[in-house]
Amino acid sequence: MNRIDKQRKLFYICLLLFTVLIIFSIGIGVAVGQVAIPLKESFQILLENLSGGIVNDLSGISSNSYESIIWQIRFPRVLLAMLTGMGLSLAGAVMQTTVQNPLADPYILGISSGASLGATFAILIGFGGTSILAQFGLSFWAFLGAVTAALLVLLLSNIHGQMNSIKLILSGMVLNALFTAFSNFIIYIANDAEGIRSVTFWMMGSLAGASWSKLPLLATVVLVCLLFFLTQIRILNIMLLGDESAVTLGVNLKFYRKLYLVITSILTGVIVANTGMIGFVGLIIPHIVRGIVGSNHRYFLPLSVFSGSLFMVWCDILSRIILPTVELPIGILTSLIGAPLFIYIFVKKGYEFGG
Amino acid sequence: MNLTIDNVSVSIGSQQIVQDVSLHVRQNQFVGLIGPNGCGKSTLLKSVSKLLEPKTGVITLGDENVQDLSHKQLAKILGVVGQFHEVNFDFSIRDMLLLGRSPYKGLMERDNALDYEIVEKVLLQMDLEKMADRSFLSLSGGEKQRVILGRTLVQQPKFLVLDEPTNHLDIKHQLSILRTVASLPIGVLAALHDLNLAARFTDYLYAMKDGRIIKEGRPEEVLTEAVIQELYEVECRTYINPISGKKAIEFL
Repeated sequence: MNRIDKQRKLFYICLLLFTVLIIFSIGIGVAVGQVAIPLKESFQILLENLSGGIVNDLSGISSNSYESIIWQIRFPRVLLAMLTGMGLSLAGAVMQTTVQNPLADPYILGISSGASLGATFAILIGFGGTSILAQFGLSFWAFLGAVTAALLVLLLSNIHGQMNSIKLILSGMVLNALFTAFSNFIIYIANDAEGIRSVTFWMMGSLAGASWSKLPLLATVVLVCLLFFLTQIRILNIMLLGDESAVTLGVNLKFYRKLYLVITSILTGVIVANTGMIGFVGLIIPHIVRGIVGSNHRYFLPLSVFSGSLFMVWCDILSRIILPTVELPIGILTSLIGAPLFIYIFVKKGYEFGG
Repeated sequence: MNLTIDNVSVSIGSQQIVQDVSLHVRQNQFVGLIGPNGCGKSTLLKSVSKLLEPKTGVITLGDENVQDLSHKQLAKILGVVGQFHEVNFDFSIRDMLLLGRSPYKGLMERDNALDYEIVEKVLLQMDLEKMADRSFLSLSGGEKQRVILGRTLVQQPKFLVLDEPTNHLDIKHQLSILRTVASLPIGVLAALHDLNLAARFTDYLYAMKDGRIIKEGRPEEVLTEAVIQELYEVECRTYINPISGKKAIEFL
């Protein structure tokens, strides 16, 4: 058996393993929290609701309130965690490939500061309660800020001819600084303690706002982007070889690079609008997966998405149980876990960004 | 496949790098391009591989105007080995070679048995089969260059463009790369630094300076003391190497 077969086998085993782990984690995810619900009953309730009542055996359930806790509160939240993890790892993986830099993450195009500015604006200044603009709410402004920032970065890096990775990263940094300054300025002059608290909380990222009504849009965007990038595997692989090699292999990267950047920006923008800033997932997950299966996107991309969702579900579970009475913002936790993990793989001997 | 470069000029920004160059490579011919650093060799080769667009003039490969071909169509007939292969991410050598099949693949098409067969053949030909599973970044310069040439051969090109393919390589690898290239039954255009190797392997030479061709001909006609003096501003003596029977150069 040659290495390609072996690699493929390892890939399918990982995929199967992840599927089992994720189903298991969903169960735990809906069982733990302020009210602990036995694992068996959690699965029963999930099964009953998912099958639309066909598998209807709730006789053993000890409390009726369990069902609404699981179905109305915790399950949407676990799904939100999964989608966020999938989307952020996908965006991170594609971003690292597109700018050909292993240190890129989904927020590199200034999306984080753009979204923060949008959110700060909405929270601290807002619009009159009756105006049309006020109806859109925080998510809309965060999304708008994120996408505006990303587009400005793209425009800036296209000035004076060809866009390249360095121009892109520098433009991202500069606009990041600018947007952050604007946000800080608004915070400084706002003099609104309650507002500042919500801004801070928003910037730390949270899944607490999960609800069924929020999921369809996010799920559509994440899944469509995933399907799209799964059709782009060959081009993503070629992208890793650099512009000149890509052209001599028949692919003109200029068009694809812009397309990918726009799509990942929208994806990240939608996620940020729903959850606030959740750091490190998009940076660290692609790194770890690359370390296991290599840089070939055929294996690397699906596994990043799976591990990302698993990682987020568990971060969410921990964020609910780590402190006895309050919930930890999940952005704090992902960074608390992600940063040391990153240092570990960075220091680990022989790590070659994807060997 | 023939390559004809007809009165081509190339500019980068406002600076004209290649001026009115005409050049011809016949089927099965190994043609060398020599000249000092910055004389426009790489720029000329890049315009052949469509990395740069010529300002004026026409480049024809076979019967096709290169400018009319898509990148993908061109990649099926033209193989290119560039000067730099720095990558931030890693592939196994086999995966690297498989990417050479890309020009033949549609959006979702996966590699099939034929692709694997071609790759295995090239692995043997380039003496890479024992290290096929090693990672590209762990290789030495010479090995990397062999992998890149191998990837180019996997494209099954009808013509090859090489930009200083023996840069940074030791003697053994210089010889092995050039021997492989010379033995290919296709036309080759290569920018070369080492004049003795150029004399030994090429069938025809073009000497370039300041963006113009100043001399062309068989290696022994081009590699004269006067031409080398004009090209590189160094004095030298040329003689017939008693062992190879080819022209050789000794710099003073």
